[in-house]
Amino acid sequence: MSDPVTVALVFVGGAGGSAIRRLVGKRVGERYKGITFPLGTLLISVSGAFLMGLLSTLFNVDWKDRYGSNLTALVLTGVLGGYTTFSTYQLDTANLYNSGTRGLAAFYWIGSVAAGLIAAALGAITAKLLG
Amino acid sequence: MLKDGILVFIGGGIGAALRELLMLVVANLPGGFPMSIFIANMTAALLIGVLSSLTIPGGVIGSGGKVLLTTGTMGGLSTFSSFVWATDQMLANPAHRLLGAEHGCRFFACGVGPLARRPPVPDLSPCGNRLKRQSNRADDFLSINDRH
Repeated sequence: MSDPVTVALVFVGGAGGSAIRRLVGKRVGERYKGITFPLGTLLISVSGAFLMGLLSTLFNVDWKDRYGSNLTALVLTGVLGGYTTFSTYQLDTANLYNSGTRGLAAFYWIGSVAAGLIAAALGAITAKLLG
Repeated sequence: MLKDGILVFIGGGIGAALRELLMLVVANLPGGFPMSIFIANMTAALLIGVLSSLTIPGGVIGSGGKVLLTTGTMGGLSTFSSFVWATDQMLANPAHRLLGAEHGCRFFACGVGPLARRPPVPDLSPCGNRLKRQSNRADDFLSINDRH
């Protein structure tokens, strides 16, 4: 498999994943309008982490070599990579911190990683139970 | 709104492709520390902070550019799922447990670039008040649930 094909697949997957992220973020933002806590990003992070654990295990992907096949390039690196975001998570933390809600910022900062680690592990366990 | 969706689609694709290029070029550290993902996430976290400061109303970049670059490209370049999955995998392997903890901590601690993005607004009246109002508008513009 040539590199340009992989990059093209990741482009398509990342574009789709990013568009889904925007839709999910928008829906959650509209539904919980008054809340300053970034629920949308948290939901995206946790669900993306769960799916990464689930699909990586189902596809039997070596985590150190995720650019192994077209399917992993499209789905894992592309869709899930584009769907989840590290930059917005950090920016949300900074915004919470700057708006004076420092306790909430710390909770979000640490809680996102803890929830993500657990979600990815649960995804892997679910995959093993499935087959 | 559809325009924003298209901009995120294009920006996200570009960001993800850049991340893939980093993965192809940058090797993992011994023990599997995913240096490429680390670089992608740190770069995106820093740049989203810088870009958000440039995209306030009347700023250098308009609202379309903001959606394209922050929600799109920076969101596509950075990834949360690979980060936690790699940490899980390292923690699960006794030989790499220490490295996994270090990996988690390094990601965790280094992503705070955006914290320094907004300098304190000087309170010089009457100009100071105007600056302060602009700053408040910037906060409104960057309301948390508005942007992913």
